[in-house]
Amino acid sequence: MNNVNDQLSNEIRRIASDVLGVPAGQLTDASSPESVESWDSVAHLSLVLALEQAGNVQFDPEDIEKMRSIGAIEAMVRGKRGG
Amino acid sequence: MTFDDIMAALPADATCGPLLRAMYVDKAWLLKPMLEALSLDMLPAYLREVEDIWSVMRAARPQTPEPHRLAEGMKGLAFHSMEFLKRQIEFAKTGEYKASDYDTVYKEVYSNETVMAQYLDGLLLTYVAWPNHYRLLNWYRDAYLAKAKPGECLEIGPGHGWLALWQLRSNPANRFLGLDISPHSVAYSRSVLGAAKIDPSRWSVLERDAQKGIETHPKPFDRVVIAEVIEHLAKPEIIVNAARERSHKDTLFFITTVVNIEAVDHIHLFRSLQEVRDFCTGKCGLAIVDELDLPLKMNLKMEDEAYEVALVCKPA
Repeated sequence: MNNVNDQLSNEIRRIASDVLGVPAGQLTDASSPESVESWDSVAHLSLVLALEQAGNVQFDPEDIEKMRSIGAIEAMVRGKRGG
Repeated sequence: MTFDDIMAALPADATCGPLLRAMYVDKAWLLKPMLEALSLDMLPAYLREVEDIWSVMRAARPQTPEPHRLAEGMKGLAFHSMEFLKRQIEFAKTGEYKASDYDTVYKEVYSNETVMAQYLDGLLLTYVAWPNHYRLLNWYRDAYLAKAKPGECLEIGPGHGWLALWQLRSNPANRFLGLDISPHSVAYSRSVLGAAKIDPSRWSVLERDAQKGIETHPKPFDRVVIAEVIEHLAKPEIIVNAARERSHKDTLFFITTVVNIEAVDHIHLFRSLQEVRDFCTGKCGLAIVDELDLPLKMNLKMEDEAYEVALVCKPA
């Protein structure tokens, strides 16, 4: 993983940690609503809003449905930023 | 309650199985609150409701293949549910509705065919996908339709037409006039009433802005429904008073609105249940006969409580 990807990964984990109330170190690519108790629909949309505001990107409903794990979120944000 | 419980209770001849699967398997993460609100004893009535809505939605668009209709409906419901959550999360931070100007909302929402197609499908499906909307629909039938005298019915903003349909189903003597600002709502309401095979001589749905007055009607109205409209207007008392002036002393009104609940087109912000009551009894000259308060149960920190509220009123 290069530095840019490291930065993005860390940023997403920091935002997810804030929203979900879970230490960033405990979040992996596989972390999802099934494995994180606090990750309900409200938390999911809060996370989406926080990512939109932090990254100056917009997610449509189809995007939001695909963002069902930290790894999927990273892939989506990377795609939106043209990375 | 699980999806398997629901499917076990589903009658063999029901057609709504794919819709239930889409709601409670594919969109389980989004619609879990409805699943949690259901109990086994509620299932027969709930499944009749789902079947009814889904049958009419399909019959209203007979040329559209069922899988495509299902995808359209679910797209609308997902859009509506996600948009609501996003806006409510923002509202919890700011305490203000984002939209403040009716003309902008009209341009961006009510006259926009793409937005309205999703909006109306989604809003109709919330009656079986959002716990508070399901309770509200049942209360409409039990506390209002069952108690109001039959006769001339007016609805301002019938939208998806489902309350209009039940108004007409509730008594064969009822005749219905619906006035809606959106041409897309008018078309949707008409398609729903047509698909449900309600005698066309009993109803009429017209594109009209009730804020500019309610057209002359040969008789005063016996029943008036203004549901999910008040919060969309800057001065909602104008339409309530216009309807009251076309009513008589025994006319029963069914009014719904929201307290501290945001949506793409909400403009008029009520900050408490008392503000809603004061609006009805003060500016609108109504007396409250019955009231249903449905607190919004969301994992959100808000300064004031949020509610869906429905009122049965009569002229004071």
